Amino acid sequence: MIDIGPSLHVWRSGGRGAFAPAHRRGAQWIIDVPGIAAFSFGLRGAVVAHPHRGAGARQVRETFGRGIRALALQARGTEVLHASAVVVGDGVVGFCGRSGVGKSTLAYALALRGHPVWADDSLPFRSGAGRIRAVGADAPIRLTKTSAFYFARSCSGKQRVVLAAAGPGVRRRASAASRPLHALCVIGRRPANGGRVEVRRLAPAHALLAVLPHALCLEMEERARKARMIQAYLDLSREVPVFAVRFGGGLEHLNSLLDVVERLTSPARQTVRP
Amino acid sequence: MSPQDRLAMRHHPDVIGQQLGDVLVLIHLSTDRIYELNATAARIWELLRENGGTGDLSAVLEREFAVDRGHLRADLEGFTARLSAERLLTIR
Repeated sequence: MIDIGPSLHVWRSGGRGAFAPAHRRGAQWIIDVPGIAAFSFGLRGAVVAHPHRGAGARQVRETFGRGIRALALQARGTEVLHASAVVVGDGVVGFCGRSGVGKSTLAYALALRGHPVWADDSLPFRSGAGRIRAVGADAPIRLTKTSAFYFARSCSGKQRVVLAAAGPGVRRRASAASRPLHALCVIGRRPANGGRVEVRRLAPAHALLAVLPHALCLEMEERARKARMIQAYLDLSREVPVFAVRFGGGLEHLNSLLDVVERLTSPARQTVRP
Repeated sequence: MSPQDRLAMRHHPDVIGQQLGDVLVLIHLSTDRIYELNATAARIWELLRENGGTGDLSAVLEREFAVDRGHLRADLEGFTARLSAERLLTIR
């Protein structure tokens, strides 16, 4: 049978990255974040912030670190996933998922188990010669109030000092310009699941469909740039193991999830094929 | 030779294709649509690239796959019409 019918999907390339109005004038981007600043950048050089009245320098820096930097990277040719990530072995394991699913919480909890945080919210990567490498992303972890309260209550005394020193977040401890991207987990919630964790390794085509919605897409007007981006995600889907991870319940089941993720992403598992 | 075979059919320049596991994935850069082609469809896609659709695709496929010629022609016409409707092919 000749078949294309049942497997058609529509990917909305404008779906990510537009957390604030973005305008392009020639090779210059302007992103206006209400109440904070208008950020402008080109294909090279510094990102310039024009703070709005009443915005503090700290707010401007945080907004840059948490979103603008990633968008500038994407506009300049580095692909960026909306994901958090930790270091496992000599590589990086990323966690995609919609906002609020628990990516930062998962990364933070894994950091407390000895896997340094590599990225929070934005995971830049580069593709080349059949290799996918995560690029360093210097950003502090930002936890929800619920997660911060959970860790403050459940951590040992030493770990509480780390939380206290860094307020709601903790800076990443990993240091390297880039590392191999060992695996990606696409995290989803399934409330009716209780504490059970469901894991499924995705075939490469399904991995593409699962990962692409989490791609930052600022520069999509230029055809050649878009083609390079698509090719990078095709390469990623072919080269990097991608797992769909579904879990139910709240933070009381976090340890089950962490156990599963650690087993799944241990260096010894990286050669396993579906 | 079917009417489709006599037309020059080419991959649309905005389509990127790559084999991912068992399927050929096509992504149309203008429509953001993603397609998965099974092995037979992928072979036709490849033949279209090789000869621009000007050759007798059904004869090649008949040799490669154990299929009835009548059914094959109907399937092929339907498939290429679908590819054209999705703007994955340009026809001249």
